[in-house]
Amino acid sequence: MRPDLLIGIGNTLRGDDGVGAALLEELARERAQEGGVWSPRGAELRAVHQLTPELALAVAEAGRVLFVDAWANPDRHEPWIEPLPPPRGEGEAPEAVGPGGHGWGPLALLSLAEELYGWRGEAALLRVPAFAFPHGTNFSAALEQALPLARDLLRQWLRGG
Amino acid sequence: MSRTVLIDPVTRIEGHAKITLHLDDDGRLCDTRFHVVEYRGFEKFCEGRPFTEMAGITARICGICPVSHLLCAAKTGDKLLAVRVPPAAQKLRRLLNLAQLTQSHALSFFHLSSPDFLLGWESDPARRNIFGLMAADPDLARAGIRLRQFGQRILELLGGRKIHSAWAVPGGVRTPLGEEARAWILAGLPEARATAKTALELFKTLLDGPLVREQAVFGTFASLFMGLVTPEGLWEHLDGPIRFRGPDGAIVADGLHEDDYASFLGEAVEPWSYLKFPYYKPLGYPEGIYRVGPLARLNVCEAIGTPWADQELSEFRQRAGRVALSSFAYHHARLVEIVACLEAIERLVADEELRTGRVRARASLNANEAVGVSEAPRGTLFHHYRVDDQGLLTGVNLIIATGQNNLAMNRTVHQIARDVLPDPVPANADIPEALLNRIEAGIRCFDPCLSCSTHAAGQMPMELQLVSAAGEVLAERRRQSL
Repeated sequence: MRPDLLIGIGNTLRGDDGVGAALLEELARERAQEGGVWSPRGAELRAVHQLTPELALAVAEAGRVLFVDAWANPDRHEPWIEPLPPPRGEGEAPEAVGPGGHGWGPLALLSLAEELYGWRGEAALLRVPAFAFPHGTNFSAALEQALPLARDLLRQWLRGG
Repeated sequence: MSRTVLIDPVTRIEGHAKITLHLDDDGRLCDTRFHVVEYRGFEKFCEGRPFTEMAGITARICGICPVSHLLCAAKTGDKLLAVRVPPAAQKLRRLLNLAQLTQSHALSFFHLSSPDFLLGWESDPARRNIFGLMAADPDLARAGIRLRQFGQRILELLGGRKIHSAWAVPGGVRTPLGEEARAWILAGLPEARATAKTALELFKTLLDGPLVREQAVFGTFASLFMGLVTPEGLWEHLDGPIRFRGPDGAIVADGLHEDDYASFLGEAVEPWSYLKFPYYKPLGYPEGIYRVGPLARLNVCEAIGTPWADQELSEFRQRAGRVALSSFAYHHARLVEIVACLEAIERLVADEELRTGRVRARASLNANEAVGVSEAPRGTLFHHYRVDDQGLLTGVNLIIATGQNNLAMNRTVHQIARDVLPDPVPANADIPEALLNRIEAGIRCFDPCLSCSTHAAGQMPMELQLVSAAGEVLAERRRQSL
């Protein structure tokens, strides 16, 4: 059984932007303290500033992938998990890819893993509403309110729900 | 009527920027501006924090080259503690930086720039990226990913975990090299070398064919070059005196020390950009234009000091001259540096001291001001801290490589625009796609890093505008995310 892969994305010095990375760092600390793995398949945790191509190798080894990311300009205030469609496999940048290089979206990474390494699996995106991006490590009050649900969703996903 | 062509933002560089091309009343190109509109603000953000946190904080500024800030902050901290870093720790820091250079250069060459070379400047922008490369040459795309992973994995092995790690600290590093890590690095070197060889052969073939013109017009101009060298004048990336070499090959200044940077580097400010414009002070602004990074490091050194890299350096100089003036040669220089890094990594991991030696010197605060320097993938990086007696930062100045190439990037944009645009530009001229493509590619030669911006709020379409002196938009071209 292939392990799960969780990738938290964001700059933790830019307010709400870093919530994805911060949640993964929190999860890693908890795992180190408890010494346990909650996912029945095992889980690899990554906190990254942004998505980069070599992460396709980690995706290729995973059965399920969950991206955790800030969602700017949200039309709702609650976090939610959105299943990601399978890659299109047409040798073209998926629509969700950012401007070509380092502003990649999850779909781009999944496409890379699928086309170069034959990855097949499930993927989802935990979207956490983000409201403010000043320099600093504090989250906005609106994001703080959303964090408990984001944590619940993260653990639910890890347990296979 | 004066007009302005606006390109906003540039794609496939870190962060966001826009470009304006200014035409005079006769329709002739008179000025170009590479604007950096994202306010960094990290220097102020750091004030009031303990200097010991700087390695961890500054490593989080950038997701692409965190190690560069990490090392420079640790080196600056060494001087605030006034300690001598143990030799094993010095070597481990070198290993970290070599891995960083390798992974960053691999990303720049294989995934950001090679789609331009291999698919052509005029190819569909929707495919002129790693996905197009993947379709055209999947083996090359895979090899590039593996080479970047090789460097990244060394960083993780040294740091001990995949989640953020401030492994380099004032006084040394936290842990020695483990046996498992050493074995992994040794096992990965042959494949990394093979990939570097493939890339060099491919790129040299392209230089001799389809890329001949780019070498002439992508930022080919006289400037100074600055970089670290060893005391013997060899290629250096972490410690050593600073050298300036002129376009004619003459050494303009040598043996400079980072502590004295304010005596030889000025920092000009322009109202249209948040990015500062460093210059070589004795020549003034903007005549003191200089370039840093892979191209500069190869230009300032006498030799690299390892066999394969020196062979490649020799060929590089045969092609580009003893002092390579074309900014397009940055791409070739990156590949030569990957070879230099791989050879140096191989030497270092054979050193027993990396696994057994003392790795950290401890002391309390012994100085209130210090300057650290290192070579980041994009060029020389300076950190300058002032602290109070409790070690809290009262002043921070970071001189980043991208800033030091700011003048050169502007000059490059200007040269490419002159080459592509008709002269004068007809009043009803459209904005050619070729101009956009080439200017983007010209800036990518420097692999600039402005990634202190947010990623979530930062997705923007590309926009070109032709604007009259009165502010009227005469022509506009937008490109949604590529």
